[in-house]
Formats: sequence, structure tokens, C-alpha cells
Amino acid sequence: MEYIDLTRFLLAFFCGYFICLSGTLTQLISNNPLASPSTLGMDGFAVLFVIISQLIITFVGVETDLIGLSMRFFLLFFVLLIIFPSKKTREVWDILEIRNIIILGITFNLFVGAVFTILQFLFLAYNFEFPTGLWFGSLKIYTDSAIYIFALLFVFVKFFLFTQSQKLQFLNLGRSFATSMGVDIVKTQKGALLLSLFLTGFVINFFGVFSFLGLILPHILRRLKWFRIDMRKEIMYAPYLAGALIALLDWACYYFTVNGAELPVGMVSGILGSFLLIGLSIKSGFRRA
Amino acid sequence: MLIELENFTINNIDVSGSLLLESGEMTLLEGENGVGKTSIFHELNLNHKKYFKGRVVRIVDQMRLSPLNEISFRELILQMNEYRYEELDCFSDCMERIEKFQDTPINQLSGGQNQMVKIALNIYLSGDIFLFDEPLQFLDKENKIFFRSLVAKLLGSNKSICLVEHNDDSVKKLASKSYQVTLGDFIQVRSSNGVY
Repeated sequence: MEYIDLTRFLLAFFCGYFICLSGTLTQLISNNPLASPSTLGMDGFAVLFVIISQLIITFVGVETDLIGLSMRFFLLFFVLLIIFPSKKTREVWDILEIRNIIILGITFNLFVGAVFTILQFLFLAYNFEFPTGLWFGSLKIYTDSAIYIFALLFVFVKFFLFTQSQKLQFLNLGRSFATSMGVDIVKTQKGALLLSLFLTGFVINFFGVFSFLGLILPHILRRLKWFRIDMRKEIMYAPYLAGALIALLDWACYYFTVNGAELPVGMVSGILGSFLLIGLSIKSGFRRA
Repeated sequence: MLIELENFTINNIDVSGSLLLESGEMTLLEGENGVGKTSIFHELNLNHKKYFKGRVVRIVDQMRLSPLNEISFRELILQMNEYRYEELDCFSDCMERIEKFQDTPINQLSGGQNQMVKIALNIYLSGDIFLFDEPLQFLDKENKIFFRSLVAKLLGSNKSICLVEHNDDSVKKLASKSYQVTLGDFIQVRSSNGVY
């Protein structure tokens, strides 16, 4: 029996942790159980930078690795988003309601999907290499140095959760209640949204898209008795389980190959997640009926 | 305490006026639909530290409690225990009213049950001042009568109450004073001599 190495196992753990947390945060700030990094356009946002980077590498001829270039663009934009919002942007941000963000996010995802398809066609028509592997997240290709970056991000995330988990617990009961408990709603939502965006983009830049995980993992873990009634525990500890699940799933994909080819863990999670989502939707429908 | 409403707008219309809330008394906030009463409550909630200067304020508004998880009221108050301001005698009355559904996940409650849970939660947490924005919506006749008795007990405990209520005159009768919110070039809040 072949064993996956520890670095890959830990990277898979961190991916699962970050995606699950990202999903929980998006659901909390939108108070919508069907919200996810995908529906808020975060997947599309991160994929766009990878596409732009691939265009530059292919057509401009810049000799650099795709992940490095894409991460630079992503980080630069993210820093600009935080540090230099114009007064107008601040006004827009303050009045933009979550439901409008969801609509924009879905629209943006569709747009990026269309761009991805067109570019894929053009790249193949001109016999250029295209990052098709982006569409299904996989941990097959990684560098040892990535673990240090992920570990550093993990420490930052823990600090954020330590300072914000109580406020997010209040937010679970509604904006009005949270406000009455002294929570700065706009600041808390912004912080959670930005972190969610960063975590999603970070994972996608390194390893591709893991469809549905951000949506379905929080729902699965919320059904466990330790997290069913305690949002603070869910925020603080459920992502650990999610990380372990994804790490095990990745190990399974590595071990159980198809004619020697390794299934991308993002593809497997996408298929499983879509069935679970259908089941969840039906169950929610029955409950309302 | 006197609350000066200033330096904020509702739909880009300046608001001016003041509200006097006194211990053991209920103040009624009246006005036509859409004039800004709920928005005023929202502003008071948003900046409660500024307006109420350290007093503990509880607000029961029109928004439904809809947690993502399946927490029930009984489980919720256990989690909220450390944030409790004081124990009010009337909370036991609230528990009796919601006994049948206190173990039901809050996100599965009906509109009326959700409203009762909201009221009970704020009574549990307690405070110096209670703001009620149309608290009787979705409530049946018995629960409306219960709410009236609850208000009387809160006033007996020397709490300040500010109430927005359109329909139920029996609750409005407990008010000591009322304020009118009118919309013109600006939204004005001023004392009226409403008699109920």
C-alpha cells in the first residue's frame, strides 16, 4: 500500500479547513443556508486571475509559473481592495445589501464560466496549453514550500476567529440582535466576507476549484451534535473535521486510481456535493411543505 | 432620559426631535406607515451607546429570528446566560407561554411562535430600556393579552419602554406619553397629546 506524503496530507487538510470555513462565513453573513463562495462569485473571481495569468504566460511569453503569477495578481488586487477603497466604493459597500451581492456573484460566476469556455476553445484551436486542471481541484501538483504559506495563513485565521467568533455567533441570530449586543455589523460582515474571499481565492490559485464544498461541508457538519446548536463551536472546530475529511478523500483519490490516472479530489467532491445538495434542497422543500 | 435625535437621515431626509424615556413609563411612537418609525428604532439600536449612554437597551423589532443552525430557545438561553443583565420575575411567565415550543428549533417556528421567542429572549437578557416595534404582529388574542400583562410588569419593575403599535389600543393605553413622527421637509419627532 502506498501512502501519501505528510505535506500533501496537510495541504489537503488546510484546503478542506479553509473551504469549509469560507462556506460557513458566507452563509452567516448572508443569513442564507444556500450561500457559498461560489454563489457570491468568489470562485469566479479567483479563476479569473488564473485565466489572466495563463493568457500573459502564453501570449506575452513571460516565463514564470502560473501559480506564482496568479497569486501575485490576486494578492495585489486584494490589498488594493482593503487599503485603497475610494469614498464612493465605501458608500457603495455600505449600502450594497447581501442579496444584491449574491445576485452579482452568481452573474459574475456565469460570466467567468463563459470566458473560461471561450478561452479554452481559443487555446485548443491555437494548440496552446490551457489550465484545464483548474476546473477540478487537485492536490497532485504541489511544492513543499506551499505548506509554510498555508500554515501561516492558518495561524492568521485562528487569530481572526478568536477575535470574531462571538460576534459571528450573535450574527447567527440576526443583524438586529447582533447590533443590540454591540456588534458592528458592517465591520463584522466585511471582515468575514474578505476573509472568505481570500481563503477561497488562495485555495483555488494553488489547487483549483472544489465545487460545492463550501456549500455542503457546513451543512454536513452542522448536523453533528457538537455543532448542531452552537455556531461558535461550528466556526471554531467544524473546519478541522472538514479538513480531515478532505485529506482522507484526497488520500482515497490518490490510492484508488482509474487505470493509473488519479481522480481530482475536486471532481469527486463536486459529484458527491451535487447529490448532497439535491438531497438537502428536497429535504428543505419537504420541511417547508 | 432625553434622547436627542440628530445628525442622521432616513432616506436622505434629516430627522429632528427628541424622545423622553422615563423609568417605569411607556412612551408611544406614532405616525403613518412609512414615515420612519422603524428606521428611528434601527438608528437607536445601531448607535445605542451614543443615545442611551451606558444603559442596557433591548429591542424587539419586526425581523424574524432565523438562525442557520437548529438551536431551540431552551438551548439559546443557556448559551446567552453570560450576557444576562438581570433576572426578571416576569421571565417565568414568558417560559410558561412558550413551554410547548421551547425545544423546537427556532428556525422551524411559526411567525407567532418566533415573535414570542424574540420577546422572551429579550426579557431573559433584560435591560434598562425596551424598544418594541410592532410586537403584537403575528400574535393570537391570548398572547396579545399576555404581552399587555408583560408590559405592565416591566413598568412595575421600573423599566423604560418605547412602543410602536398601530392596532392594539389596550396596550397603547398603558403609555404615559406619545410622540408623533411626521414627514415633511424633514422627519420630525415631537410630543403629542394623544389620549387613549
